[in-house]
Amino acid sequence: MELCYWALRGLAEPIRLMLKHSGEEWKDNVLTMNDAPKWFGEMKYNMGFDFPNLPFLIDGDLKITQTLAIARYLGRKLNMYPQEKDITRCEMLEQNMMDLRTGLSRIAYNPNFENMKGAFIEKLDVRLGEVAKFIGDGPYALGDKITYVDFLTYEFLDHLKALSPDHFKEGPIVEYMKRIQALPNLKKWFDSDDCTNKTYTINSPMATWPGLPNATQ
Amino acid sequence: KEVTYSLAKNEEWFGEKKYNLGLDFPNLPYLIDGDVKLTQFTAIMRYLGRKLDMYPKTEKDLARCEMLEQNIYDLKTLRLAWIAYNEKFEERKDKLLETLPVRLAEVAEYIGEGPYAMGDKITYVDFITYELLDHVKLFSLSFSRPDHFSDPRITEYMKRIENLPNLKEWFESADCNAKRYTVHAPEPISKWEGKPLTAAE
Repeated sequence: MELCYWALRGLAEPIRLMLKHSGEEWKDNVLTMNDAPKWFGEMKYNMGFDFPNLPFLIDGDLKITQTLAIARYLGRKLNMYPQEKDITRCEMLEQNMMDLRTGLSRIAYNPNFENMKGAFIEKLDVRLGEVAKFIGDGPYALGDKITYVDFLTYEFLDHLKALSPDHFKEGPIVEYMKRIQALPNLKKWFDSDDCTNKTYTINSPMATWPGLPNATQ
Repeated sequence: KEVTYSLAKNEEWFGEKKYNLGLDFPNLPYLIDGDVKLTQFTAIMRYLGRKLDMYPKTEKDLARCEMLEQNIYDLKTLRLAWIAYNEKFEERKDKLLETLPVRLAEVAEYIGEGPYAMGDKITYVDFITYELLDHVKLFSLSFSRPDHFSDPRITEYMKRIENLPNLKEWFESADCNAKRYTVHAPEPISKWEGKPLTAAE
């Protein structure tokens, strides 16, 4: 299996975390800014993708793009998919987290970021309250079983935490994030010297608010 | 049963209903089906797809279906709506008009002969795809780019959806939303509302 994305957290980091947790063999194909001409010039339209984009996943003859299509495919493959009774709730949380992440992108890439961030942060009171209530005691987003939506939820919450640390002092969300961080393979990763949270930005380095590494400490 | 909220009198939604319907993530659209209370467009579509037997059956089909679903979301929300609600719409629309042919060609290639997006069987993703194609068509026509919709794989696909019996009746009726509703919120909330074109246009 090969996952390819830029050298930043962005949309692919949840998938990287899910793969690390799973213990499966996979290749983390990372493109730097210098690789941009190679991606746009050679790779993008010549690899047989229906909808060329990043991130992409290649698994045997399956070639998938689109973050959520990849996350859900891996969820089904790696036994991290909800049971039938939980599917609808799972998808609602999945979409809600994508909504929040898109909202963050909308201001982060806007030259007017400084003037827009106040209103966005204010809305987090309600939006994060809803997520906290949904997760409750967990331990995972849907209850006892960890699923792909946990990695989306965890990582996007961490992006929001970098923007507004005050919203992440205590409560169900903080406890939930600690539980995800304590998963053995993830704990090893987060503690390692190589952990890319020390070097990767949350958004593109070109964004008005890139989300620099030291912002998440 | 369909409940609509008027944008002009939005206190009914924001004031009373939004936080009092027992929704986990209050938002519009919402769907209530017995005990099931859902928000988030994509979650609602997948739920109805499963319930109404319009859902892919194999793993391979499901992965491909979700990739199309997300690519359409990309076009709808991260491209068209992104610029439509941006004060710099006038500057950005030309760039989107330039990139549309490539994106539409990818969709055309994916659909191919069809008849539906996933082949022989109609699925929830057909309704998402059809509706977005119609928004893009309105956008392209509004800015004098009818050439975007010359690929027969797309035009024939849209005709096949429009000719589904219940939809044909709906589209031809005087009440049809496509004749009355804008694509986005009315200006000035959006910078391009996507008003229905008249028959002449």
